[in-house]
Amino acid sequence: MDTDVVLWIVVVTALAFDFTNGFHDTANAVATSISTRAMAPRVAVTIAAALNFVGAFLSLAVAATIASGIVDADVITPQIVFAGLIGAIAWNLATWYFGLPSSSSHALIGGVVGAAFAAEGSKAVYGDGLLEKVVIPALVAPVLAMVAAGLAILIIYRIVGRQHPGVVSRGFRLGQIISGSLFSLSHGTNDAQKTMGIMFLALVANGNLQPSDDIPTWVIVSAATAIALGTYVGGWRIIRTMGSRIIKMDPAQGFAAQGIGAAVILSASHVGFPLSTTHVMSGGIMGAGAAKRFSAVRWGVAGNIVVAWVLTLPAAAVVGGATYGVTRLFGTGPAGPLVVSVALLVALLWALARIVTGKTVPVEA
Amino acid sequence: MFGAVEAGDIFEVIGVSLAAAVVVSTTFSIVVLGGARSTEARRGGHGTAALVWGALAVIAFAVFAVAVVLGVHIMLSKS
Repeated sequence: MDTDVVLWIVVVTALAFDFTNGFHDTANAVATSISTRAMAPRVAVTIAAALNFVGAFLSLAVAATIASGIVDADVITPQIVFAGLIGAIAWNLATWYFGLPSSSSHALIGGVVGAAFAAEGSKAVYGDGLLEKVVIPALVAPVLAMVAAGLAILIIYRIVGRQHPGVVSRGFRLGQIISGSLFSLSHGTNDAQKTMGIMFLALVANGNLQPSDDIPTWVIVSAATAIALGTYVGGWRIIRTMGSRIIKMDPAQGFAAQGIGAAVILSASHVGFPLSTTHVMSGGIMGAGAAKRFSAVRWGVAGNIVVAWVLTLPAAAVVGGATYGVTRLFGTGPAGPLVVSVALLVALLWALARIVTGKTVPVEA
Repeated sequence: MFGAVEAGDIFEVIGVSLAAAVVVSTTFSIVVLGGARSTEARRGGHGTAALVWGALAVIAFAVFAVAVVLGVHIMLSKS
């Protein structure tokens, strides 16, 4: 009975993470389209949400857990997964509040690493896995996207530079609808899988399923729904940062950042090298801006984003580890996760009330 | 080179990404250019030029569409 309660707390927390994942990453797919007026904001998030939902059903062949190869699978318990999810949710909400795009995958990995470390010590964490799945992709993704988008915008300006700006803008706005849709579909096939994998692991650990079983339909539908709802609600603070605070972009730059971002992610996917959509998109926007004029990029904002990337894993790990410590104060039953869940809900409601009543500082445009 | 990651994979990602950047940006720019020039030529009464620019735009769009389809195929064939 107790283990079932913990299981359902983990499932609900995983869906909450999935919601924040969609909510946090909406900007990757829609920020440039909204900024260049390729699509109306509500239309853009509706299309992104629908394609994230569809994408979640398209590919179910993703690894069972995102933390595979990074932490020792034998030490994973539902409490560690719960604590890791809380670490990731906390970081996603904190970076959303400050309007900073950061990787939800890295937050989740950080949370699970911190919780596993708190539970079993350093032997539970694989350094090589961290290097392979987090550090190197985090270094490669933004630089590669920046160079590729810069190259793309130079080619675009070279080919269409002498045409009437109105015609060019209309053309690239249409292109952004295609590239944005591709981005959203890709996001759905990637990110909803993380939640499905975590829910599946929890069900296996609890004895409800065997590792060889198929992912239950209700897991697929609930994960797809959570990420789509999160995407539809939209993290507008991050959309504002990516759409207008890094550079003031024209439709050609928006297309270059988005189209080349999608191309880079799919190319990496093709050779089995996982890159963060957030890192790629942010790098692409900076590259498209810098290639036009280096000073067009607000490097202060870009610097803040990079700092957030560097802090993602350690910050989520600290919260994940601390959460695990708190839950263990209440033993191995459901009391710990319940207390943490209620405390987090109260904190969220308090923060929401402050935002609604305007007692927080808005992100400057 | 990096222990857990093959250097060859990284160079392949870089090469494929840059090639994709060139293909995507070039083809879609030609779509926009061809469309614009075709419209101009048609308004100027140059039927043949309008046809040639229009055909160029269609061919470039076909190549761009192939790149998009390839992207969707990669998504669906992930393992």
